[in-house]
Formats: sequence, structure tokens, C-alpha cells
Amino acid sequence: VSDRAPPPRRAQEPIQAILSAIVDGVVVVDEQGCVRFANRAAEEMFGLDEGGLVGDEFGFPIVAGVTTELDLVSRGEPCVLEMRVVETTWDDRPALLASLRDITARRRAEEERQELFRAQTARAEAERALRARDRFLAAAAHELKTPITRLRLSIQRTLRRAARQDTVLPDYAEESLRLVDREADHMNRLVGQLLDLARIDNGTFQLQRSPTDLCELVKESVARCQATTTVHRLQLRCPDEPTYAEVDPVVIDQVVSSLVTNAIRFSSAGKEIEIELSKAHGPGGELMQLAVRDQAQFAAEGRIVEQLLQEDGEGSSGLGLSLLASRRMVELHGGQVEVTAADDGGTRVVVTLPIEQAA
Amino acid sequence: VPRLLLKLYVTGGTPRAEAAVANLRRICEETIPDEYELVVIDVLEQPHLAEQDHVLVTPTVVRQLPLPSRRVLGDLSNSDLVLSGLQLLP
Repeated sequence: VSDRAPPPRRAQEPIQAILSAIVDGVVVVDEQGCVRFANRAAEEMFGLDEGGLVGDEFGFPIVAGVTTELDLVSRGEPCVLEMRVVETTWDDRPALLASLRDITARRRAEEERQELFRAQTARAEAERALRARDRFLAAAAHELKTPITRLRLSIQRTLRRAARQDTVLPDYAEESLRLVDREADHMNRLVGQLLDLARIDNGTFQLQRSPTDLCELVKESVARCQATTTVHRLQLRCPDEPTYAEVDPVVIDQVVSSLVTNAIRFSSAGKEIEIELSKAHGPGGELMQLAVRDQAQFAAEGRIVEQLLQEDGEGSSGLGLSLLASRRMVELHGGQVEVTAADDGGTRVVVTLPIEQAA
Repeated sequence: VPRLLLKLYVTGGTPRAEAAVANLRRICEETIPDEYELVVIDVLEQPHLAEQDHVLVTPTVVRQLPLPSRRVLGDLSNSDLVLSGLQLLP
């Protein structure tokens, strides 16, 4: 049993050696907050020479929990330090040992992770909103179909009954009934396009591709459109030999008749509508080009139409909606639709379709 | 003339700066209202002041008056630790 011996003068030396080897910055301060020791890592952290911290008034380090975060005062890049503090003695006097760790990279990684998480959440939110919109569109279109069908049936029944009973309807009555029928038919098509757009957007629209003679398809489609009007002349030019492409014939027929019907709807009586089917060469190989050229009065708005096509969801007019539906359908085939205002004021819509494989 | 002059050094735009200012204001208001003056210094805006006072990290609180000056740094959320560190406990 011996009395505790007074510590040798160099009692801190082994501890100093240990602290010097530590990667974290270590600062030992006395009760006045003056630095009694700092390792090389701490000096480098603060940009000081060896021994440059000792005697400095660092301050009394406070940590309420396990660690706290500090910002390094420097003129360079921002630097975040994590500080831990333990009570100790230094040269037999009470002291505080603060260890400092540079956590800037860790903090930045955490922030980036959070940013990524926020972006992912926002994207998921946007996708949910889009799905909700598609569901709404599909439901609305579906509900509209029934009353439109009833309306058309009722008009057609009235016209048929009048014909059967040899009742002569006044001209104005028959004319307006036919107009209502035509408009209801148009509305029906728009609703169908709305439904198609919703299906294309949510990925449930499936193409049934088969080798199709585009010449034949366009001829038939144009002939059907010609049958709906006696006051417009449809001029079709197309290659003599069959031109096959791997397309969904029903969908492409819909596109052709939609474009031609639009041209008819917006052209005044007596105007000519030119439709031209031709082969072209693109960067991806052989293409089929279908141009529909009209002399519609709205042609000055051609640029607006173009904008309608570019801005998704902006298809507010009937024209915009059907063009948008046509464009999406063509895009599903790997093709594209271009609308330009012609020099004489008309509009030219050009559909380009790649010929996947000849049959 | 306030009996107590405190300078709080912070790095502007960090969550640590906001917390430090709010914590120190709260502690002063709770314990020594009307007796103190608090000067908040953003080291990004006035780096020369930080250099003058040899402030190496933020948040650092310098008790300028009464003399001799005292300083604490780190977590200012616990009022007992802050007050005893600044030797302001009665």
C-alpha cells in the first residue's frame, strides 16, 4: 500500500502520442476554454501550423446529447464538423476533450439521398395524378357514349319513320335533323378518340399489326369519306403498285379518315382536298408519307394547331383532340405527324410511317 | 447600458445557425430579459469579425461583457449548460 505518487512531469506524453495518431481532430481545453493540446488533424482542420492552436481561446465546448454539429469558419468550401466531448484531466487539472470529425461528405450524401427521395415521391405523385386523369377520361368518355348513341338512334328512327310513312318533313326540319345526326356522329368520334388517348397514355392501347397494303387502305378510307360529302372534291394520288407495311389497319384507317374528315369539316363547299400517298426515304429506311392538304379558312391558325400538337393535353378544340389522337396513334407505329400552314392559307398535315417489313 | 453583451457567431443559411439564434434568444429571454444585448454575426457576411475574435467554428457565443470574456461553442439547446459555460449562473 503506497500513497499515490505525484504524477511525473511528462505524464501526458503517452496520451499525446495516442491522440496525435488519431484521424479525427482532437482539442483539449481547460476550464477557461483555452487550448492545452491539439493534435495535428485539428490543426490541419483549422489551417494552422504545428502548435498553432495551443494557448488559443477555443471556447467551452457544449454537447447536450452525444454529438453536435459545427460549421468550420473558413474562406473555402463549407465544412460540417461533428463534435463529441468528454470530461478528462490534463496535467492534473479538469479539462474537456473535444473530438471533431469532418462529416461534410456524409451530410452531402444524406442531402442527395433526401433530394432523390423527394424527386421520386414527386414523380410517383405526378404518375398517380396522371392515372387518375386517365381513369376519369375513360369513365367520362364511356358515360358520354350511351346518351350520344341514344340521340343518334332517335334521330335516325324519326327520319326512317318519316320516309316509311311518306311524310314529307319540311326542308328545314330534315336539314336540322341531319345536322344534329352529323354532329352527334362527330361527338361520338371525339369521345372515342378521348377514350383512345386515355388508353394510349396508360399503356392499355394495343396495336394489332399485320401486313397491310396502305394504297388499298387509303383508297377505301378516302372513298368512305367522299361518300359523306357532295360539296367537296377529294383528290387522291397514290402509287400504282401495292405498298405493304406492318401496321394496325383499323388504327391507320381511323387516322386517315380522321384527317380527311377534319379537312372536310373545316373546308367550305366547293373546295378541293388533296390526299397524296407516296414513298420516301428517311434516315431509318423506307417511309410511307401521307399528305392531306386542304384550303380551310382556319388555316391561318395552322401555327396554333401545331402548338396544340406539341403541348400535350392542350387539345381543347375538336380539331386539336382528333389531331392529338391521330398523332399518338401514328407515334405508336413509330411514325410522326407534322402540321404546317401552306402558302395559300390552307393546312397540310403530313403523316410519316416507317415500312417495317414488306410482306 | 446592458450589463451583458453577447456575440453569437453563426454560418448563415445552415439549419445550425437558425437553431443557435433561436436557442440563445430563448435562454436570454427566460433568464436575463432586459439585461442583455445580443449581436448575431454571420461569418459569411463579416469574416473579418470572426478573424478578429479568432472564431474557428460556429455556433460560438462570445461573452464580451462583463470582463473577462468567456466563450462557448456547440449545442446551445440546454440552458443550464450554456449559462454555466458562459459563467452566468448566479
